[in-house]
Amino acid sequence: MANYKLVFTGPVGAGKTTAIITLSDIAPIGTDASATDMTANRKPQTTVAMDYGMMKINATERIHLYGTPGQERFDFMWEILSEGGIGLVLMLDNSRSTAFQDLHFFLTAFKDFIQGRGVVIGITHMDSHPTPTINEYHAQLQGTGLNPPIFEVDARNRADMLTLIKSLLYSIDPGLEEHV
Amino acid sequence: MMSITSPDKLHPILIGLSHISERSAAAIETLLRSSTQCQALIVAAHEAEILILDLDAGNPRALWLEFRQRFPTQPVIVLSLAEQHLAEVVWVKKPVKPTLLLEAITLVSKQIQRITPIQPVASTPINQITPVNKAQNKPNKEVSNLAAEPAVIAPITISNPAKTKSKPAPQTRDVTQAMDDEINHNTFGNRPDFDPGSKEIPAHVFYDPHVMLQGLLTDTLKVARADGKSRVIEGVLAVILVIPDPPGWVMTQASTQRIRAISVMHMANMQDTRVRELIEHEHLTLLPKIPLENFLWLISLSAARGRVPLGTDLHAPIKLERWPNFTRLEAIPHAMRISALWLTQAMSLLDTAAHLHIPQRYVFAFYSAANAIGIASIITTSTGSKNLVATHSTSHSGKPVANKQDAPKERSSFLGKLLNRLMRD
Ligand SMILES: Nc1nc2c(ncn2[C@@H]2O[C@H](COP(=O)(O)OP(=O)(O)OP(=O)(O)O)[C@@H](O)[C@H]2O)c(=O)[nH]1
Ligand SMILES: [Mg+2]
Repeated sequence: MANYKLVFTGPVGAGKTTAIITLSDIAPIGTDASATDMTANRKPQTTVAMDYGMMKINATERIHLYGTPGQERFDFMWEILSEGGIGLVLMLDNSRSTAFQDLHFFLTAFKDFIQGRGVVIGITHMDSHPTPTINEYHAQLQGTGLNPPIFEVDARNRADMLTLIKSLLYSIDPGLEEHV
Repeated sequence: MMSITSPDKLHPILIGLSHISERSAAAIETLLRSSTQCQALIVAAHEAEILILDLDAGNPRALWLEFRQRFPTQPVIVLSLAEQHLAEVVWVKKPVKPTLLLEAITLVSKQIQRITPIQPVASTPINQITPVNKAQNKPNKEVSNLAAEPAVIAPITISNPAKTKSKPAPQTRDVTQAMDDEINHNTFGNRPDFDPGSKEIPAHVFYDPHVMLQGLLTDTLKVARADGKSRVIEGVLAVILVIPDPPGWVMTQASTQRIRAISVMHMANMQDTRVRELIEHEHLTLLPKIPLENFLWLISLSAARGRVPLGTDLHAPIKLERWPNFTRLEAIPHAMRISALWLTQAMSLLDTAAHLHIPQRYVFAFYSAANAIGIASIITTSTGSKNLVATHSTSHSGKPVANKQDAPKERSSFLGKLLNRLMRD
């Protein structure tokens, strides 16, 4: 049986760890450490290696949730993430002045991963920072060949995260059907 | 059928809810909205002409006393499991049957109307009218009898006429189930699909946004965007401030329920509607702020009720510009599947319903809302309508993908299982 996984990425403080905690059936295995100088002024806890969580689908099957560290050194875990990865969840923090640069940086860094898989984008902290708007993110992607779901989410909100993941599945396979 | 209007006949009757759960409130609101006999609006309790009180929300006696202290004069409809004999009260047994509740509202509305001519002072408190005390012995008095009574409000029991004599039989459907169906029906209509092959398209699949709040708002927005000045819409049973600054905002005190109710009304019935410029330093700017997109989505979805704007070509392919911001928009069944499909290939409204095996009204509802916020439109081709057009190459994220490493079938079945796991949540 294949070992399927979802990969969560994005800049420091975007809500990757929180999103995995929100979705995971098990207490996630975090690797948060006190922030280095680089991030100390932003938040007290930052992820230095990988986050891991898991959702049970049925008695035998699971979906694994991996979060990359937010400090731009994920090349070393490339192999792990690629195998069985079904899609990328890019979390972006709307309060960062570099939000659009972040968008392009991560889409470029994960270009090969996205190819043949799916990608969705969750914009966090819109409660405190309503701009830029979702429309402006879409406008950023004009001409890039990508037109993924981009939703306002709060990483702490399970309904938001579930909606985001559902859209990922539908964008990978529009033919999926709900059997409710 | 009796029809409900406010005494002055210009406005819908204003209904307030007291101690009604959010879920039931939503159900009652959609029930009112859907009713053809009823022009009624849910408003804040202190603005209401008629109040509906759930007496099972606490100790009935204490609740009643507290209620009458707060609202000594308003006509009231009481909902409860146990029969109630309260003066000046119309009682509806729970679980509430939608038809009986409408009947109760109709009855009380009529009473208000009949009182008005007898007491020329419009503000005559209802509690000054002598209740018919004897009537308490006949709680099961028929509605028709009461209509013949003089201008008084007596305790009345509204119950299923077939069951008035004996104890009511156990209800087969409970109120929430019945009301859930009502909500679904009323947001999306309940018309069956029509045959896509038939030459004639039934008129009932269309609605006219221009005669509704949706049209008024779109027109107001155009004017506001042209000169960059905020506008205030008044006289639509709510004050709506329209702010053109990108991306566009709406400010209003009105609840979602109230906005939904206003959205289905014909603006022609609103005699005092006016649009004016915002006066500087007006206090309106303290009202709750809603992104324009979310507001437009809500009112167009409510107005459409499973239909499409007049003039929409049901056979022409649709183009969807981008995914709607689904986490912040009123839900529409199957909207994600439709989005994923339209971003992969343009397809007509009728073909979409057939292709996804879903009722046409959901496709129509989704199109109407997405069209209102400017992200979905008809593709007009010089060669006429074609049903299938590949979308521009830039929207490839929706393409079904076959991952080289995985057996596509196994992965696809896994995605299906994962989706259903998420749906169960
Ligand atoms: N106000 C607000 N807070 C949010 C939102 N989403 C996440 N947060 C909070 O943002 C903080 C940072 O979230 P994390 O999950 O630690 O971010 P991360 O992406 O794992 O960060 P690194 O590990 O440093 O890369 C947490 O306190 C979250 O609770 C949001 O939408 N609004
Ligand atoms: Mg983290």
